[in-house]
Amino acid sequence: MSRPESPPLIEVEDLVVSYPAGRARRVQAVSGVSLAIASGETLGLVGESGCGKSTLARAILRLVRAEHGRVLLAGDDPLDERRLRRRVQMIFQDPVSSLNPARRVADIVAEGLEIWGTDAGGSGGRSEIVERVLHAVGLDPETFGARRPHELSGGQAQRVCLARALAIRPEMLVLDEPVSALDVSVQAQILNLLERLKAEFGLTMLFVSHDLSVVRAISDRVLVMYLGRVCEVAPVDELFRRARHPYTRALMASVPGKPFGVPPASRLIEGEPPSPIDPPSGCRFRTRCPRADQRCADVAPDAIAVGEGHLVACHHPVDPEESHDDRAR
Amino acid sequence: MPGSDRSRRFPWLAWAGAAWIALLVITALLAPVLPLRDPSAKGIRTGEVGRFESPGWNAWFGGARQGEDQLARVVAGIRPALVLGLVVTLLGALLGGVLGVAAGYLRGRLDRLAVGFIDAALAFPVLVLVIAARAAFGASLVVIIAIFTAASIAPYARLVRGATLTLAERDFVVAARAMGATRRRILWRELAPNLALPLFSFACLGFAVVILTEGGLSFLGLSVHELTWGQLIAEGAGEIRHHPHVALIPATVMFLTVMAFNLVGDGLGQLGGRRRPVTVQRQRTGPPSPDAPGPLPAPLSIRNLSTVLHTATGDVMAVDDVSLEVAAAEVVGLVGESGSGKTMILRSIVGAFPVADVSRNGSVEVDGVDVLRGRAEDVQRTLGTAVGMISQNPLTALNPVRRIEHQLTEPMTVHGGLTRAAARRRALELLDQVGLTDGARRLRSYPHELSGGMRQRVTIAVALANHPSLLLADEPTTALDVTIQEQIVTLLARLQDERTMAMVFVTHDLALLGEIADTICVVYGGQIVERAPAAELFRHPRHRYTVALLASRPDPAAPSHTPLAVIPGHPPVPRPDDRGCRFAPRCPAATAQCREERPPEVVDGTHHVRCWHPRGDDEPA
Repeated sequence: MSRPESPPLIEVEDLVVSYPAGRARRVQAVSGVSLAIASGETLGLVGESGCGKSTLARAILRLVRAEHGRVLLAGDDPLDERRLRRRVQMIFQDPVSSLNPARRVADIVAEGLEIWGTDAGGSGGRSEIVERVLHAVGLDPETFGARRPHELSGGQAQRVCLARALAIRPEMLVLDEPVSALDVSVQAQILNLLERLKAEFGLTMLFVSHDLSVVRAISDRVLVMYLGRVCEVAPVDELFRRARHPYTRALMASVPGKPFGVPPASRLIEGEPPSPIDPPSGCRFRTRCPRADQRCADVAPDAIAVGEGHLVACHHPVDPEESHDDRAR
Repeated sequence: MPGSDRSRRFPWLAWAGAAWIALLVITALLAPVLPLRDPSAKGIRTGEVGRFESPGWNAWFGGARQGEDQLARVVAGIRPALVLGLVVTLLGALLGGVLGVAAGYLRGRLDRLAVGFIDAALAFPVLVLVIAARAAFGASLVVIIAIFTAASIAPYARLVRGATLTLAERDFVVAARAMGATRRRILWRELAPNLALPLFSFACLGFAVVILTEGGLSFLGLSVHELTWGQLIAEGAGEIRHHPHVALIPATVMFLTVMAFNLVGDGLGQLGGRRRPVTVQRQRTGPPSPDAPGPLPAPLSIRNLSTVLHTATGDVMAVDDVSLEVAAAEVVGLVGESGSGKTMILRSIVGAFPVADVSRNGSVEVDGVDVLRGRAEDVQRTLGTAVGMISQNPLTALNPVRRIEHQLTEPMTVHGGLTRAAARRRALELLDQVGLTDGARRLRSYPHELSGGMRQRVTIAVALANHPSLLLADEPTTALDVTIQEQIVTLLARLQDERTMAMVFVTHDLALLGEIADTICVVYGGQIVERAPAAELFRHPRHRYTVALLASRPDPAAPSHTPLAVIPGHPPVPRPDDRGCRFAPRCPAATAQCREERPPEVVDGTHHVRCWHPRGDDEPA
């Protein structure tokens, strides 16, 4: 959708993913999404439950099969999904359940090395690599190497997940709500760690979250999804200062404490998201949008450029200067 | 939880079972060299054992009809019992296990075939097959093994298929796929180790079933020619009146063996098993606190409440000396991280706990009724009518198989004494008040037909049904999306205001409380460490934990990629014998005094803080 300056590490082209929804019907979780992530960039992906953000993340790793479209890694279409998984690693929301309860931490971290060979982890033997990555995520190998997942706190388990992913030196991390299950005081630890690891290992990241404050803190660019489609993409400061899509605005206005200073959500957004089994015609947000008219029901809006790297898919984008005046409060 | 987990220990009864099995195995192996008589020798000829001789020094287990030595015969019966059990269990577990894993992991057509086979096999009359096979092939051990094995494949396959289906959806299996693991690797390294324990546990129980079944068949005269325990029992059964020992001794040995396998199986099951839900609770209440209650009863008044959960891993001080008063029309927010005790304060009010054994001390009064020590019926009526409760997950709070109408009208007809028609009218009113349109249709719906936001509106309606004076909301919006959260919080604030209800709102989100609470209590390690009016708390946080909590959220004014302020370590498990301040190990301002002495509660007008070194107003936040 957007074209960043440095060559993209990953490109998603017109991706469609659907699931069976009973009685020979299918529900489209992702309906024609395109995006590109530059090497070394962190793209934040936000949206509410059912918007398709997790499905999109999994489709990039081919954990779910795409019906249409393709995923390019450094310009070529990796036909071999295992080759893709060697270079792109995933981190999940619930760190404890994403660790095999029957194995010890050191073995879990060495899993990628067992699959891909010790050479995948760079110099040194297996135990050296395991020690190195455990140190990198802030865990003492002596103390934690022999523990089992149930002996870890949530934050420690998420560190183990990161060590496991980093052991085979991937180029990219796809993180699906990596801090949502953690306590507030532990969230900050993991977010700081992610920033450090990104610099240390030269990582590219796709950071999926429903938490706008967290996404704002960690991303370079942010993409907003609603019901399987992209609403808006922009560099992080541009998005939070000059959001143009009514849905992005509504999302920002719903954050408790109103840190992003937009009018109360009740004036912007009402009702519940429609069922993805039977999405509205035209613009999918129109059933909850205060600006919707007949055109929104008839024609799905295309993404239009409204600024440097800022795309918005809306027939009636909000004036960027509107109602940001109460920001200071 | 870090450290050892005592609930995962192998129980001593299982050890006893294992010891009995070991004794049997050793005896069977050593039988040829043990000084035992020939089991087939007839005592009436050799003169060594008498006909129906009673157990004694000469023959420990006594003699049978023709003077056979029962001890020798029981020992001879160990071998066929163990061989039959072992072979059938191994074959059944292996074949059933492979079928179950293949069906559960590969899914598709194979799974449909397997399920069909399992259903058919479970419906098959095994006894008929045994009788038919005996007529055709005679009484051979091989035939019995084959039939028993065929019959045991299906139960094993069903168990393993079910376990595999659940495991394959777990994140760690998806994570292994995302790592690039092959199918074979996932089967062997991810699934197999987690299937081994339940399968082994089930196999022990299966072993017992095989021994019992063989006994039953022998009794019917359908078993093998070899000497088995079943045959000994069958033989002795006729003499049970005059010579009970002939049947009872082999029966006891068989009983002990079956029981031993069951105990070992259950022990293994407990090793891997999740904690079972508790049905029976034992609650202890300490002596009443000396404080006299105030003149006008507040909707909620908690004084010096302490709740100790007696768990397998030791006592947990879930609530530690909490005092809290909530006036009519007041909203008090409790905020804290997981394990801080914020939810336990709510549970201590209504007396619902996740573990069986709980001690509560201090006093909790709802509308002036002491719910810790009051008469059971008073407490039940007060909790049923004066208190409404909203929980985090509306889907589990509602009964999935009952229509909304039933769930909404039941509290009104049971506690409120309304007729069904009146309750229905009121239900429609309530749905309208919580913002659900098309009420008549909603009443006919089942919970799964509603979205998360609508379900939470329904649970709010249920909570309001009997005009409660106190509403307890436990993370009511945590499972919801932000735009829906906004709607629900607005709704709760409106309802609370209209009805001048008191409300306790529990959450982990401090910013959310800024939108709804009059007073905010920060909970850490089971204690309320700071309490202040909402605006005051945000402006002048005094406790170091509150300060750190506020600072650890990303600052919306700071540029992105700004490092966040971090609280090192993680929240503690509060114990009754903790000394000093529970936040001291993570606190930047902690001194030796903080680690040794319990901090006092410092009161400054409406602002309470439990800290030796609270932050001064001149310090940066």
